[in-house]
Amino acid sequence: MRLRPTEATSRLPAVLALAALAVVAADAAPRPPRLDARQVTLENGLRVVVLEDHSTPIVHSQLWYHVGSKDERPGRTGFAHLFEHMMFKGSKNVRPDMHASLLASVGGESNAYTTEDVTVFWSTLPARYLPLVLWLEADRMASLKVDEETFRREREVVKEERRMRVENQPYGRLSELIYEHAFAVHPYRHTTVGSMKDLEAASIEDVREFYRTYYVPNNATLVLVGDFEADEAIALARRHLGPVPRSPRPVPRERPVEPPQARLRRVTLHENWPLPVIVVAHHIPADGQADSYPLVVAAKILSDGQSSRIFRSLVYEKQLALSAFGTANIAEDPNLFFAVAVVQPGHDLDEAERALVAELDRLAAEAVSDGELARARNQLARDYIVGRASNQQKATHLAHAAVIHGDIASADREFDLLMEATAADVQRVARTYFTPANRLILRVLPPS
Amino acid sequence: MRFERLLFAPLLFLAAGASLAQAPDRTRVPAPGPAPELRLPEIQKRALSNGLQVWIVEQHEVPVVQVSLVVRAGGNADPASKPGLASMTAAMLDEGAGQRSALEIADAIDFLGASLSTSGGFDASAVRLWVPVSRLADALPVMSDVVIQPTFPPDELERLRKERLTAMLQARDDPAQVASLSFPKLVFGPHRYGTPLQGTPASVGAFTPDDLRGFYEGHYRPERSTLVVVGAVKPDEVLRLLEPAFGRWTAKGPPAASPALPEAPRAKARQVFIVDKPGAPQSQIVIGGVGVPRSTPDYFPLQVLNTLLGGSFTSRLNQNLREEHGYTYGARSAFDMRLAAGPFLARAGVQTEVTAAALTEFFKELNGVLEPIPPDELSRATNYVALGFPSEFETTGDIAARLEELIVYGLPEEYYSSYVERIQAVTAEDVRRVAQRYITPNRFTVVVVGDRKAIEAPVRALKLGPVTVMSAEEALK
Repeated sequence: MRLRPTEATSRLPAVLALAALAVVAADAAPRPPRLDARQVTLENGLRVVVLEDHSTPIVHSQLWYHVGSKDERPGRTGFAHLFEHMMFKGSKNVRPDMHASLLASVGGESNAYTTEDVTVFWSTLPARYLPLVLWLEADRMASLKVDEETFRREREVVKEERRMRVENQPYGRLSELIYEHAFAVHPYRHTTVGSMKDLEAASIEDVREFYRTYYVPNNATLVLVGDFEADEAIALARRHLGPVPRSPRPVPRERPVEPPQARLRRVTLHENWPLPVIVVAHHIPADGQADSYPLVVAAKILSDGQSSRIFRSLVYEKQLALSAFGTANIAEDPNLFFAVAVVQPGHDLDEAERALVAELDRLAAEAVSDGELARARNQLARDYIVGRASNQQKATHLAHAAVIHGDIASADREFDLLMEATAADVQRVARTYFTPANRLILRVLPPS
Repeated sequence: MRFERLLFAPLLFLAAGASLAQAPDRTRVPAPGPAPELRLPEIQKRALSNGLQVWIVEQHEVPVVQVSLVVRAGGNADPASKPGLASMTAAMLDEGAGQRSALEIADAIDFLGASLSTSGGFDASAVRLWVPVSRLADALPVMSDVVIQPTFPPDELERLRKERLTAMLQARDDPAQVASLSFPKLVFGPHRYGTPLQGTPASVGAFTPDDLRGFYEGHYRPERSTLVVVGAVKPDEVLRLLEPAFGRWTAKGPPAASPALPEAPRAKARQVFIVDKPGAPQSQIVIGGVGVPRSTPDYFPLQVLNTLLGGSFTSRLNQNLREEHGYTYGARSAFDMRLAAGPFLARAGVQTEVTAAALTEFFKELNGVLEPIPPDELSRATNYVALGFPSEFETTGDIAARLEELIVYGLPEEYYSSYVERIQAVTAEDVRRVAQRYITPNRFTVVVVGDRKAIEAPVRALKLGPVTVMSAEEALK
């Protein structure tokens, strides 16, 4: 109450600010079309989300299991991903080679991926074959079959995937190095692909246990987007997946909590990469936390497009870096905001580090301009629209909203949260998180 | 005991619940629903006052529009001494145009929440704008400058040159890129397709702004270009915006000659090249030769053939090398069809220890596909292509890409309406005929990028043909 007079004295600038906003609002970022989806939860706990889209006679199915590499137990890194592969190896009524071949024979595509937080199985196929994909999903959710020989062979495929993506590629180990040094106890300290040693140690008993624990309807969300009537799609989902029994025990959710970082960490490593790399990483809050939205805006201002700050300073003007970017990895548990520069030959690493840190410091020291903020908003609106063009993209956003935020409405509501983030919000989060104590500086140099 | 009972109770309950409900019968594959109709988008053809052709497809689902300017000239038109010129010309279009600097162009486009990109391929070049409809009028003047008034500033050329040269240097450290770049060189030799689209360090090092301007003036001309517009627009309204942006575009100077590339000669015998990457944990295998042009009358049988050989997850190559043997994360094959015959290739990254065994399996499948194809495998492949075809028209970008394909390869407008039918008409005999004609395992070139110490002896022991060993530097020279 006592503060009122002070507020009143500040009214005038506030009115001016509103007037300025009104001008921007007339030219506000275009509003992406809403995802007008429906959600039901079956008796066995399976969440079903459906969205009609009649523009093309196809349907996309996405089944999310709420388990990822952060749920792996010590000594079994890479297991969630290895298990994902096993889901294509046959179930009671589906021979090992049948899953892919049945879908291919009706012009469908299917695949899967694993992240730190979730495992996602998707298929796109002609809409009339929706019953087929639901049948396939039900059979492997209810009655996966695993045998020792199939398991061993698939483990080789996964090891090969690691060699291809990580070991046989310059900079392939970059994420691994960042996360290993940024986290002390939280399982984000290992990446989804895991280590060769742990993949070798995995056993078929691990496969059975993981299946019983996590691959249950009460840990799953099915999203269907495409050319169907919503009622019919829900009825089909109920018919095929409804009978799969719920698990008798709750799905485990306990994970070690990363303690706050107390002081600057500096690490220098050597890798056989063509050019040196500098990383500046900071811990940030989890997906859905209020501060995560201004951090996404900050990443846009730092790093989206040739007019963004990091590109402009390091790549364009100083030509210190071959490429440079900053990104907010917003995940279910607190994750990282990191900026990376691949340093051009003949440039000093201290200089590149100073230039990267300077851009982060500048966000904390001064508010971003109205123009930069408007640009970031327009770019976010563009991402929203272009990122929801296909059925698959729409399904991914809906599933993420349902699984990570527990509410499909967040798929649209987050757009407003991003649009509402102010210059003061961006400055505040930069001051809060881009501090030396919360920072990891990683240098990866050629072999010494 | 108490614990056991407590744990047991819910299980009993569930078992009872399941038997009371409709017993799930999953022993049979469910029947599909009724067949839908694919509504192919209608193309509305117009022209601007300077004769520039405009193809418009209305798509009103999302309030966005894509405008692509397609120029029918690319790396195929590079002067022999200047490979990479088309690619660099395209890359430089948005680095300075009209009164705008590179940063001003980027600023304007980023501010509008639009995307503007330029690309130079072997067969064509393009400038593509994606923009919310409400911002189209603001974005078109920028795109117009980029297309009709590029300035090719020398300092921007220096910056892009440096970036490309560094990237070329870096490619040597990536075995997959070494394989992708050395295979065409070994198959096509001095033919244009033997040199990377972006050129060589020597050619990139020598481009001048005048070179770029020369290529631009000779090839970027209204009569060699078409505008493709796909999105939430009405033709009459969008033409009113396009006319001031592109209707004043006139060609400068005479057109450059643009002779068709010749067909590259096919190898007479099989040859093996080992490119050494000491310590590599994987070997990158690429096998193939000169393939077919996009205009081939065998296009449809080849689509079916490649689908079953290495063009899908369930293809023979992937089933064998990944599913049966666990040698690789994925094996595939492709006919890269261009205006002239591009490469056919089959490839995979495999564990170093199984390199020779993997080569044996590759040749087993390449030879196997010359034999008659079982009917169920043929129908699976034709269905895969035919029934999956509607997905190729899902988004604005998908439709624009299909239209560009019609333009660049001179395909008839009704091409896509008969596509599904023509795929379904492919017979086992058609597939056998094209396999025997184009899959020639005894004359294919084999490139293996990997750890020579570990792989040379076992690869030589296969006696596939003469073996040449080289370093990555030699392979990319």
